[in-house]
Order: sequence, then C-alpha cells, then structure tokens
Amino acid sequence: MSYYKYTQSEAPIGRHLYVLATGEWRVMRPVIDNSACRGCGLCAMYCPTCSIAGSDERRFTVDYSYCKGCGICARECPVDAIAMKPEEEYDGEC
Amino acid sequence: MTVNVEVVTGNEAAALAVKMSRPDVIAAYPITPQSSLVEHLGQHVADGQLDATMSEVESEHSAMSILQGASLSGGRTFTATSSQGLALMYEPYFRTSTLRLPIVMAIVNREMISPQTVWGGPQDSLSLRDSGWIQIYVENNQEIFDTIIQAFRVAEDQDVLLPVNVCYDGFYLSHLTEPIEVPPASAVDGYLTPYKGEHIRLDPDDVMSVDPLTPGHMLMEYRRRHLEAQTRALDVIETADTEYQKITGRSWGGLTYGYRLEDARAVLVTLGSMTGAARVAVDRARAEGRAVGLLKIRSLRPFPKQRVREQLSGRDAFCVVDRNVSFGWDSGIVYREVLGAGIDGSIPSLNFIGGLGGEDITVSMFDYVVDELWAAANGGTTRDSCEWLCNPQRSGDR
Repeated sequence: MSYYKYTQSEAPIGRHLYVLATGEWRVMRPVIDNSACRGCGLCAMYCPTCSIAGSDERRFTVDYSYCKGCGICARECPVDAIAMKPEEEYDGEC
Repeated sequence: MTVNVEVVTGNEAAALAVKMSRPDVIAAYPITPQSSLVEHLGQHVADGQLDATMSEVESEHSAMSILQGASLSGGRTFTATSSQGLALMYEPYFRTSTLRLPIVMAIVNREMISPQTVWGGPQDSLSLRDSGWIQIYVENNQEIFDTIIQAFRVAEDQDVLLPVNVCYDGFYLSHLTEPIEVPPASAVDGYLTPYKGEHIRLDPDDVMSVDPLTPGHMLMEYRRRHLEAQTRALDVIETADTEYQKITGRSWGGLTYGYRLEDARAVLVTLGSMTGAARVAVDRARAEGRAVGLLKIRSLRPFPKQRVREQLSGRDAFCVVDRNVSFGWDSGIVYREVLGAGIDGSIPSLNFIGGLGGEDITVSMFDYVVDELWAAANGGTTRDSCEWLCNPQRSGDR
C-alpha cells in the first residue's frame, strides 16, 4: 500500500499531501502474539511512529504502512509477546 | 506578404526574433558575447515595442530561477547566456528541463575557461548536452532569427513541453553583420499560438505542489516520459520547420541540413558557423570532380540518430570537424555523437578538431580536411584519434 498519490502527469507535481510511507524501509517486522499479550500498551507508548494502536478489547495492532521495524516495541514488551521476523517472509503484505 | 530586410548582427537578429515571439518575461544577466542581445531586448522593452517584463538580475542562477516562476505562472519566457554564465546557471538549468518548463534560451557559444578567454566555441553548451534540454545549433544570422521563433513553437508543443537552446557561435555570428529577412508580425503571430501550461503550474484554482520529494520509482517514471518527449520532439522540430517554410519560404532542414549529399561518396559533417567555410570547400572539391557532400547537424538534442544513420550509410567515408573537445575520448564531441548513431563500422571515419577559443577554421583548412576525407574514401581507414587543425603561422611559442 502506497501513500503516494500516483499521478499520470508529465511533470513532477503532487496533487495531494505527500506522506512518506516509512513502512517501505522495514527489514524486520514486529508480530504480536495475542495469546501472550497482557494488554499493557507499553509497545504503543514507545513506538516512535505511532504505528501501534489499541482497541477497547486491549488488543494491539501494528500499522505496517508506517512501522519502520525499529524493534523498540519488541524490546520493551515485558512478556516478550512481540517477535521480530524477517520481512521477506511476508512478501510486502501490509 | 511584405518582407523587411534588416542588416543586423546575430545578437540583434536574436533580439528581433524574441520581440516578434512576444514573451511575457525576460530575465538575463549580461556576459560576453551575449551582452548586446540583452541590450537590444532592453531597448525593445524601453521603446514600448515589446510588452514584456524585463528583469535585470544579479546572476544567471537568478535569471533562470525567475523564468521558472514565470513559466510556472503560464508565461512565455526567454533568456540568453554564454560560457561561465551557463556554468553558474547549471543548477536551475538542469531543473528547468526536468520540471518540463518550455523556456527558450539562446546560448551565444563561448569557449570554457581556463585559460581565460571570451572567444567563440560551443564547448559551453555541448558539455551540457545531457541536461535534458533540446539543443539546436545554427549557422548564420538568418537561421538564428528563424530558429528562435521556431524554438518557442517546439518547446510549447503539448507533445514536447521541454526547454530549447538555440546555440550560435560567439563573435562569428553574435557580432558580425548580415542581412536577414523579417516576416510581418501577423505571420509570426499566426505561427506561434499562446502557450497553455497545464501540466505544471502555479494556479490558486488548481492547487498542486511543484517538485515534491519524489521516490526513485516515480523519478524513473518522469525520466522515462522525459526521454519519450525528446523522441517526440524529433517530429515536432521537423514540422516546425515545414510550417515555418509555409510563411517565409525558408527551410533549414529541420533536424539536419544536407548540401550536395545525393550522390556524395564522402561526407563532411559540421556544426554551427563553420558550415559556411565547409560549403565552399565542398564546392571546390566538386569542381575537381570529387563527390563530396556536407551534413550539418542542427538538432544535437534530440540527436537525430535515424536520420544521421540514413545519411551516412552507404558512403565511402565521412569525417566530423569539431570546434570542441571530449576529454577522455581523444576526439571532439560531435564525432562521438555521430558514431553513436550506429553507422556501419566498416565505413572509414576521421575526426578533426579546430577553431577552439575563437580561432578561425579557414577554407584552406577545410580543403585539407576534404583531401584527407577523399583519401579515406579511396582505401583509407578509420583513425582512432583526432587530428588538430592549426594555423602554422599562429602555432608554437612566441
């Protein structure tokens, strides 16, 4: 998924706000094991790109369009519920 | 149709053509040998004969940057420079083509420093041949006048949308006087329709960000389109020439100009003002029964590779005379360009370099070139290095 609005223009112009899709940089992907997660929310608090969102059920999900794969969430998780996995296993899926 | 004859220098001819093309904005910084062109344009504006904003800037970098804004606002724009001024302009120069702005700029060709020099030679513009602009090289003052008018039409064509350089030799053309025919204003007005810049513009009613930070995959897409526009320009330059012929009776051949080519066994290839002397040498060779022809390259970008290939195929030899150098090739630039057209490698070819720093390339030098060319056509071989054309009376230490 690209946040860049692709144009058919001859010249380099942007018709919409240009958003840098930092998820394209990701080499390692954080994957949350919901059976181990206690729902503390530390991962979301530490995420430098605000890419982890919670829900009323205290389930946390990663927005892979922006997640750079820095691994801070996995490091901070008190129950090691987040695994960093090689991106090529996911073939670019978001 | 009333045709006026004006007796003018090359720079005056250029200024007349610009006046008749009715630009909205001109921005320029004077530099030898372009200076009198800017003076004449300033005079036309001051006299009320040209309704344009004339911006006298502090540098060539500013000149091109002002024109970028003016062109983005939908204006027709013109500037001119030479040599070191072009070098200072390089940053916005490249960006003008990649922004696809149809700015027209005369380059009054001057040798590049060092050593210190102000005299003629197209090293300045030829060194920037891969900057995305269209570059057309002309031979005399009439061709300067005609090509500048055509340049606006080519640049602003919706199939092209690229900036155009009209390049002519400093002093040999810029400061020497020739008669030229000037068509009536109504004819030029009919030939040049107003510019409509819809592909990229500054317009409060159609908001777009110009030149945003662009990822590589899209930059490649823009480059691909830019290359395609250069290729489409091959046809547009030809059409601009034939349509101009309808209003003036004059054709310069479009992409290339051929002289006594039909039955030529050996072909002399030239660029710019040296073509006049080359034509005399060709006539002399013909008078002696040697079938020599002349091919003048007009459009260096886009390079008319198919045309050049067709015009040199089947000959017994060809040679290129360069008023410039390609460092590292041990030859001139135009020779390498011509070889790049994919000509049958079994045809012998020669390269000569002369006329640097404003030195004359004389008719007798071309007589010598034709002798060498004719020898190559009669059992000679390609030389891997260039040969220098020097005036023996001016060579050596003094």
